[in-house]
This record gives sequence, C-alpha cells and structure tokens, in this order.
Amino acid sequence: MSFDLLNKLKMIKKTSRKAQIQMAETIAIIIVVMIILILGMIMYSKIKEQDLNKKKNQFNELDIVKLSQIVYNLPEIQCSFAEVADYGCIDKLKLKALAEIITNSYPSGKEYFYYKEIFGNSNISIQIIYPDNTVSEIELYHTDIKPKSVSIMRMPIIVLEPATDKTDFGVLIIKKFD
Amino acid sequence: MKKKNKAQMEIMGLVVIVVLVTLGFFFYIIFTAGKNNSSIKKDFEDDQLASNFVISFLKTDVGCKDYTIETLIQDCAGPSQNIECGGITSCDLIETLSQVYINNTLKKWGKDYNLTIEMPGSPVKESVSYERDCSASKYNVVSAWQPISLYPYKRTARVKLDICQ
Repeated sequence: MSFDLLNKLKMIKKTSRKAQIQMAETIAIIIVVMIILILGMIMYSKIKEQDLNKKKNQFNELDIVKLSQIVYNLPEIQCSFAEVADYGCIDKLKLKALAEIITNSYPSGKEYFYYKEIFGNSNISIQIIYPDNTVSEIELYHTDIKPKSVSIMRMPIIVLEPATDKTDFGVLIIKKFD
Repeated sequence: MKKKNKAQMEIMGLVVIVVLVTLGFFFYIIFTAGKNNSSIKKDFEDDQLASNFVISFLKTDVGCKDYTIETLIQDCAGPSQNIECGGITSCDLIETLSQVYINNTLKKWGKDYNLTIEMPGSPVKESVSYERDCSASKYNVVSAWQPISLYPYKRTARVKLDICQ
C-alpha cells in the first residue's frame, strides 16, 4: 500500500515538473510574440509618421508654388498695354508704388492686412540685374517672424521701366516661412 | 532528455534570429523615416526657371540704344554685323551679357545648366555655349528653347537652356 502511494507521489511530482517547464515555454513564447507585436506597432506608427511628414512637405511645397503663381501674375504690378496684361513682366513704377503702400501700412494697416491674407508668412522681393553687372533689389512685402524653416523660389522675370520703355532682367524671389 | 534539450536550444536559436531580423527591420524604418524626397517644388522651379530665363534673357535691354539680346542675336546670326556698342560687336556683347546673367542667377544658385545660342550660317560664330556639369546623360534634364526668326534670311537662330537635376 505504502509502496503504491510513494509511486503515485513520484508520478505527480514528475508530471508537475513537466507542466512547469511547459508553462515556462508558453510564457517565453508569449513574451517573444508580445515583443514582436510591440515592435510591429512602433514600425507601423513610424511608417504612418513618415507618410504624414511627406504629405506635410508636399502641402508646403504646393503652398510656395501657389504663392509664386499669385505673385507672378499679380495684376497690381503686372505690365499692361492698352488694358491688356503682359505676362512675365513687372512694371517697375507699379511695383515701387505697391511696395510703398504695403511698407507704409506695416504692421497693422488695412492694406498690409489685405496682402498678409494673400502672401502669408513670406518675404517677396524683386532683384534687378543690369547689363553692367550691378544688382539692385526692391522689397515688395515682408513679415517679421522667427521661422522654423524657409523655402525659397526664384523666378526670372522682365522688369519694365515705363518712363524710358527699357526692360531689365529681374528675378522674383519668394521666401516662404513655416 | 538530451535530444529534447537540443531541440529546445534550436528553437531558442530560431527565436533569436527572428527577433534580430525584426530589430534590424525596425531600425531601418526608424533611420529612413526622416528622409523625404518630395520634388513638386524642384520640378516646378526648374521647369519655370528654364522657360522664364530664356524669355527674360531675350527681352532684356542691353543698355545700348533700343537693342535687346534678341536683336543682338539677329545681328550676329546675319550675314553682316551692323550693331556695335562702345566698340564691342553684337557677337562679343552676347557672350559678355550671357556671362553676366548666368553668373548672377544660375551659377549663384548652384544650378547645373547648359545655355546654347545656335546661329546657323553666321560668319562669326555659329554657336555659343555655356555649361556647368550638364553633359552626362545620367541627368534628368528640363529644357526650354526659343526660336528667333532671322527674316529676310531663310534661317532661324535658337536659344536653348537645359537645367540638369
């Protein structure tokens, strides 16, 4: 009788040890699976973050392209003859007049506010390159902010001096701030 | 028992390999996450730069009478050169002014370019070319060109600007 009990106890002990090893294996597997799942989730969020950053950059780039088109075709400074607009040409007199209006109403005048709605956080200027290798610059619009990043677009343009009917080689410089 | 231990070790080895591969992939994703290669602005900028440069360049006054660079090209490409500004002929003036505008724009902005002024049949210069790192075929090139009529002569001059990316 006692021999049978001893055998039974031994069997129970052996089975219990085997179960403990199996439990440890199961726990190890669960831990590994959890680690893989967590890494997967982090990777997924990184990929999503990358996509969002890419989208954000694309929208910023579209913004500066849009702004450059607005300034390039701004009727206030465009050359015109007999009420017909001449694209790709800036009238120097109109440019200086508009720059003066914007500067005089800076920072809280209604004119400045009107153009701030169009140009946003940017600096817009026109650089004129003369045949004798001299360069001058006229600033049309500016904002005083501390930007995180600056995106620059340069567009060659004709600058007309209507008083003398001379045309100069100009560069429209747009700096968009984020 | 010994056989079972060996099998367990092999499984552990496999698990370690899987974890290492996953970690490697994870770090690859992290380090490539910050890189954005969006090119909307660059494509637009180069495209408009090429065409606007050629248009503005041709219509620019040269500071001598009412001559523009287009007039100089027409004169230089013709059978006889009649324009002279301060003792400089139209052909030489084209070269000087091209350098001025290129140095103050494309060169200053670090662009790779190839500006070619073709004047077929010109007795002085058939072609003027300015280039910066733009000859190899590996580049993606954005081009703009403008023909210039040489009427009454049956020829056409051409100004071509390639912006290389």
